[in-house]
Amino acid sequence: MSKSEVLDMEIRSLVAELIESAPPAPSIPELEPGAARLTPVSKRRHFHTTTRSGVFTLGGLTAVAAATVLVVLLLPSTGQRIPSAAAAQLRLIADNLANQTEPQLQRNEWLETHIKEEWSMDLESLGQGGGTPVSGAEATAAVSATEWSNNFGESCYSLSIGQAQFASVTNEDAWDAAGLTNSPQQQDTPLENPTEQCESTTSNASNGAGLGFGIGTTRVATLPADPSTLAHELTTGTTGIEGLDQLPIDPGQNPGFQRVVDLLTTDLTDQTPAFYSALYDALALMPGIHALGETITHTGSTGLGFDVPSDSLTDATMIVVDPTNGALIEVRNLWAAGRDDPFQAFVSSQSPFVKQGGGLHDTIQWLDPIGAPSGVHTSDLPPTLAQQAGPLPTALITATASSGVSTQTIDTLQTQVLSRFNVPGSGAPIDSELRSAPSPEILSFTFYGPESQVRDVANVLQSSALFASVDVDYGDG
Amino acid sequence: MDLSDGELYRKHADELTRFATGLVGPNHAADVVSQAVLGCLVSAKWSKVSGKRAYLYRTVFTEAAKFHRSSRRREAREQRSALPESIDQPEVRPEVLAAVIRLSIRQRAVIVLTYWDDLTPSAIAELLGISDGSVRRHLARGRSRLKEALNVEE
Repeated sequence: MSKSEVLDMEIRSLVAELIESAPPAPSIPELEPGAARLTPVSKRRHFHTTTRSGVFTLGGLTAVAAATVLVVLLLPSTGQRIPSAAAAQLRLIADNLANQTEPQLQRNEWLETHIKEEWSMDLESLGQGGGTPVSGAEATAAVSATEWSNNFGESCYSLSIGQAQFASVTNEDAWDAAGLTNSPQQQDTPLENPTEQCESTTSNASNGAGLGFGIGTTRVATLPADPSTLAHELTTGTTGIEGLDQLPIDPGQNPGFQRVVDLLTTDLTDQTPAFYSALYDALALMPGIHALGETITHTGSTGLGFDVPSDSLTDATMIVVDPTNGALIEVRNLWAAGRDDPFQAFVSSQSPFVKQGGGLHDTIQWLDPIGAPSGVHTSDLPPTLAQQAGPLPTALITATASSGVSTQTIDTLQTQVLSRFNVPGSGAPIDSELRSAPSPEILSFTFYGPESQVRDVANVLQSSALFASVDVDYGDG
Repeated sequence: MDLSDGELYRKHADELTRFATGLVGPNHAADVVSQAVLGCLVSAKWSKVSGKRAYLYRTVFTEAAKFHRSSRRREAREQRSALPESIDQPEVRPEVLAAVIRLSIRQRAVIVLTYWDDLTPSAIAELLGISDGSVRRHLARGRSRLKEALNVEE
């Protein structure tokens, strides 16, 4: 970053701090509905009229539309004017999101999302402890990913990595000299490309993998719905979601913004417009968010840009959002650390990097969700994933133990339920899990059989009087 | 569609208040906006103004400049600054105020419109009714003063 850019950033930050201290706009009684009308007075009097209790009336309300040459950004569908302050823009986005239709997944349906990314990969050194500096071994690679998530906390992804691209022959030579390959196909052991994987979680401590989805599959239900609580937990890193709370890189001034970006680019199950609305409302409560105004993405789409100028990063992470519906259009300069890294696809088994290790500086230059998520059946997943995913559950039961009930008591009941219902002839096998930390104990059962089996187990749990709540989720939204 | 004065004010009240905050600080922005808007409404010219938003901006600027010059109001400001009237507002660090106070009112206006509203010099010139060259001069001097205040090498 040039010194001039540093100064601009400092000034922008200073101005933002000053403007964000603005009080609410004053209420002017004379302009309230039903107030006495003001009349024009002489020019001389104009400069002496400072009272707010005058009984002037303004005749000729010929408020001609302002013929200003300034660009006034309007929401195309509603004609809403975009405010200039970041917080006001974010609240507008949250309001528009709250009006969006909730995706209704049927049983056996998955929410399918397509993403394209451009990665920048820079091998900075070879060897441990700082190693030997490597100069110029830089490349970019295009990645396309498709992900699927269902209402049972399961997600799958498939990603394809393109050939390494180089800015110059020097870069390519340095890349080759470091034992790196130009495409995944050139490796001695061909890399699986596309990479396909499924993961499942019903816990809130998941830390799964997935390109661009660094915090792993996360159930929205584990996050607070109240924006101020959400903002606090995201800022302080106290959501209880390990991959979200422990950021891989010191984010500098605003870790909350980075965690919001993580959530926006993560495969969330149970995602709803209401959750994303709360997320943008939470972002509006965080300090230091800078509105970039109308921003054009690298594909030519237009949205509102936001970032947090930070002195700890060369390029601040930026999001571009469609204000009409809150859809994420683009993320730029996303931190790559902690995420599945396509760099591995370019490392041959003979590379010194495999034997010695080394230092990498990788970033996602841009990440673009493609189109709107849509519901698909399991049979529409790639065959390997459909096989991995297996049959979708028919229902989940989550039972939260009453206060004072011991883990041992719940464990005994779990054994009894499984021995009674998880036997041939009583339906499909049942998976179960008992989580005793953090308390209270939570006992969950995952069913693949008929509803009658689900109801029978639920009845047993309820009649045991050991639980404060027994929730049955049939996964149909 | 023509807007009533009330509608027009409600539409622009927030941005005018933020602009005034950049000129005179958070404790006096509301007063400056109130004075400016009432001044507009009782002006004989108001009904004939075609660019009412720009006119409101200029009037807020003029009112802020008057406020800036007024020793009487400065005294009042010092008295009121001891009151907890802005207790619910985000606090502005003293070093930020110290940097801004080095700027003239016109430099503040240009800096705020450049760095907060992301306006180009020609758009600022149109809004404030001054020349492009004047905007660029104020911007350059404002940046220079802030560079010293912020101790940033360039």
